[in-house]
Amino acid sequence: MSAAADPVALTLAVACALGFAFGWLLERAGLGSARVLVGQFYFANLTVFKVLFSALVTAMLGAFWLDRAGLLDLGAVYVPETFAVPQAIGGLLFGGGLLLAGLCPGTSCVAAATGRTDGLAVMAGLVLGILAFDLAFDSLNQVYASTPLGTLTLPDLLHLPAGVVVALVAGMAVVMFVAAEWAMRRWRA
Amino acid sequence: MGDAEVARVIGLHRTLALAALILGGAAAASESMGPEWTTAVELAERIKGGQPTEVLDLRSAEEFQRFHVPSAVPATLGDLIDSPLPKSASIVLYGDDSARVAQAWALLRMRGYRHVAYMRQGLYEWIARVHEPALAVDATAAERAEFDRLAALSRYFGGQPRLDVPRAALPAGYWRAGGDIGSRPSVETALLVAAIRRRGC
Repeated sequence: MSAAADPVALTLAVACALGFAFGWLLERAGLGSARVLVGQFYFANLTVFKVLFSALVTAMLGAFWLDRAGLLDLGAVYVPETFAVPQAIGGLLFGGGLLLAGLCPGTSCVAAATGRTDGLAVMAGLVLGILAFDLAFDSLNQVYASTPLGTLTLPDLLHLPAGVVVALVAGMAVVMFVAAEWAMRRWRA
Repeated sequence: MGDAEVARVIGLHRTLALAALILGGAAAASESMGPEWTTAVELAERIKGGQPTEVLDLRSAEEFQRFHVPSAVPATLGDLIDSPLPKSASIVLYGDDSARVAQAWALLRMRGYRHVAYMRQGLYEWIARVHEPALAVDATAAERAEFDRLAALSRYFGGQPRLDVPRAALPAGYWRAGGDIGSRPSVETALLVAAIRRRGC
């Protein structure tokens, strides 16, 4: 069966292409460097914020307008469910790990691919962490599945039309980019 | 980085920021114009509920004669250029050619019609969801409740609901609003569907 006729093979091929593109862009944006990532926490280097918020706004505008043009069915896009407490704990752990290691999962792959030993160490920690979580899953399950809130989106939470939320987020992004540039200039001065 | 390069990068950043603001503002503005698309079930409920809706079939006259959504009238792009419909009319378009449907939608919007929507999967969606809704043999209680609603709607329009359809014959997402309706109709409808040249709309 050819890749074009096999949806799984096609999906994997597209995923590989997107993965390469994602890694390449992360590296080109300088996010393979732990110094750049940790600089975020000291407001010394806001590259992470600018790169990831730009990606978020681009994806948001693209998805909204592709849906409006009938080329993408947003109703068919999977929205992960919200579990408030376990995700808050996960967020704190993730942030702490990011601050300590200077790398997140994606950037650790990029760092490892470019031969940085800290990237390899973080990836090893990731694998060990996944293994430990899996082994302890039965005892963690009660917390893991607690406080389910279902699929939440900003338009649902704010009771606003999706287009209005898109406009608010785009406006907020531009204001925050300007503020980030101002903060970085102040810090350097 | 030289001064010229810095100026170029700043100019690029400003252009991108402006583009984000324009697209974001247009997104908010687009909400006042009503949704761009509708589902077959929503359309059926509107017609059944007596809400004034102009349904325009953009396929050929021959295809229209073979089968069409009840209350639909045939229309060409030429007809829409000087359409006599009032600007406040609620219009639903469908066809078998997504490019033609998109052109018709854009044409009507440019002419000032603010409530123009289209059925994304064309007449085929009407057949799969309204004319011949299907219930899986191992349906959940929620699916059965939804099917009962659709079956009543289907009978209103002279359709034929199908019971005890193998789960595998229903594509993933069948029960989700706007989900893929797949391409597995019954033998009777297959003949009808085969006659409908579905090209992605």
